[in-house]
Amino acid sequence: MYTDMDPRQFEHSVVDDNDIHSIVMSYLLHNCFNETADSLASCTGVKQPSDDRDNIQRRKQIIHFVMEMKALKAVELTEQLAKDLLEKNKDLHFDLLRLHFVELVCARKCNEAIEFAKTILAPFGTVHKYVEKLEDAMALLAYDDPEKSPLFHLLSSEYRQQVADNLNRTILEHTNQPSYTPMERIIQHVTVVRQYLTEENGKDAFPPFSLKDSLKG
Amino acid sequence: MSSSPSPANSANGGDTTNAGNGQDLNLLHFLDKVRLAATRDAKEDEGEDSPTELNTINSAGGFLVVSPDKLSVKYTNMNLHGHDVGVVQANRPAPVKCLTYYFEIFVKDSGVKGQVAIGFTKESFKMRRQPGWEVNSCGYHGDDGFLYRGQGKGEPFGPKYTKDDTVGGGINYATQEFFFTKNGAIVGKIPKDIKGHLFPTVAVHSQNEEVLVNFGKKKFAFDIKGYEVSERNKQQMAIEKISIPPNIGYGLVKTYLLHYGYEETLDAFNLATKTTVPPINIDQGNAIDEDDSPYALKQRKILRQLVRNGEIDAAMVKLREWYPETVQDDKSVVCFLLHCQHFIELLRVGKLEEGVKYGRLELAKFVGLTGFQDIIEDCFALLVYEKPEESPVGYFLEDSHKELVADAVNAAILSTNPNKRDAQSHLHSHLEKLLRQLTVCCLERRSLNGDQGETFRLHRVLDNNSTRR
Repeated sequence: MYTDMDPRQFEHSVVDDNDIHSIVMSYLLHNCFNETADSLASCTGVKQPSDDRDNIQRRKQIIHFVMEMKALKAVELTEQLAKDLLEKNKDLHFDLLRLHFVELVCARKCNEAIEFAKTILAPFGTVHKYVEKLEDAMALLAYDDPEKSPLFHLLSSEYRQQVADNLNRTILEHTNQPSYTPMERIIQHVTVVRQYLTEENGKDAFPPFSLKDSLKG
Repeated sequence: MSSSPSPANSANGGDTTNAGNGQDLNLLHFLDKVRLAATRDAKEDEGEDSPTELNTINSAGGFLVVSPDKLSVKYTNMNLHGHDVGVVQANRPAPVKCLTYYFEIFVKDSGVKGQVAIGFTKESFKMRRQPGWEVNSCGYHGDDGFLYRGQGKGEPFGPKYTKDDTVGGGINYATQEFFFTKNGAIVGKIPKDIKGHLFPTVAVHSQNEEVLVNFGKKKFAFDIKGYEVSERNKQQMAIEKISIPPNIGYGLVKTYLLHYGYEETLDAFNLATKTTVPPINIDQGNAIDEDDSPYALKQRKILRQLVRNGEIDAAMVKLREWYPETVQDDKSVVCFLLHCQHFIELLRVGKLEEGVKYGRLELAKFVGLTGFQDIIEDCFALLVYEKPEESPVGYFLEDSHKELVADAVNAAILSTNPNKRDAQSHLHSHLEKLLRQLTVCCLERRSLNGDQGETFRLHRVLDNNSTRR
């Protein structure tokens, strides 16, 4: 039975530790964990790539504002960092503004929320996908306790994290840096290669891949 | 490479990877890591020879004439039947350790009947038949535009071709396909069912047919480099479509830090992720097993520090005190690596004589033991050089080697964890496991393709990411 490691041929497959350390390093810098990255550099002796420290700091601030329910602040700083970024990424821009709307609803500032929706969000509304998203958000106003509405996920930290992630990647892309980490690419790559192996050789030889199981094993 | 002792040789019940004396044979993996360092500077890919010209010896002599420069062929006879084809192969088979192979022909004269063909054949091909008319061969024929691959009848494939046309034949090892081109454009592709080495093949079959062959000395009509790029992009796009479980990176980094015992970094990371409002929840159904409590974190950190500082004696004392089972057997991998490191530290400060004495005392017992011999020899070779750090065995003096020894000690301590997940969990962090999984899968896939295609290098995956957006 083929388990996560095929003992047949490649037992002596050896990974260079430097690759492992640099994969972790790039993850830390991608996610703006700069102090952790500094500590790792001195622990392992892995050199940090000469990344723009200023860029990391500014990205970190922006992402934190999103997570801290200060979406407008995040928008402001993003516009300072990269003038035309939000213009070129209207979906993202809309999502950020909609977050601000949600923040107002949560703070029970319903009049302000409606005003904001009318003046800022509605102009997006000519495009169908924005209309839908806008309507979703507006529905929150109908509930005394928005958390009890079917759209409660808009209030969740998971959703904020999703938007923050998207913003982070877009900023990286805009500044000509990879928007996905080597770690993520490796996870994707393993999944694809295992899929090929199963497709090309059948499920008996190569059972469908489960990342979860493979990491537990 | 060391021969890993078979796991079935132990009398111990459960854990079959411990020999009777308590030695953990899994730790031999660290010796492989030492060897990896030795080969790191070696050339990446051995060059494979490519076809450069036509083979004049193994050709249908009597029916055709090959030019003196061996890059063109002419049918001189009058063809009378199907067994007087003027076939000629290249002087070498197509190389296989690459993404594609490609060559072109230019039809200078289509002669009386225009029965030119381009394709691939095996070494044993009957040199009087068109490529594709016999099994284990394939050919794209100019007179009918059909593709022949072993059956008598061909199948409609592409346009006919004739005088002044440039036609190319190629192999895509990633997709295991043949592909053909005409005047710079792809005509089509078919699955490559033929295994083993294949020779680029050209054929002419009617009077005065003449064909020039290009094995790469001149620019191709077809943009093969562009084709390779787009093929690589296809694979890359398939990869980029895969959804990534949320927060898996967090789990991988945390378990990595726990595994190696990087306590300060772990603290910094925990602090940073705590202030990410809200705290990242990794407990619910995440892929990473949260069993990795910080076992012996303080002790592992202390030992790592001692090894890093070259204080090997102190490290051994501590190990004997805290985890005697790891150094109980004097011939264990951990003892070996520590003794080696002590030897290296003596050499580092120029104490050659003391080093030799120490080596005779502590390392001699490993001589003759499979798995240690080659490393001892390399290690002792340090003595020979004026500037050992610049020698081929200079890697022993680098910090990365100290880290390797520290990692081995770390793994040995982890192996004493009574709550460890399985017999091998102390060897690799989850992240390393993932990387090994990737390497093994790529190698496996390539092996199932008859070892054809580009060799897998993790660096290519990592570098590919940094140049793409």
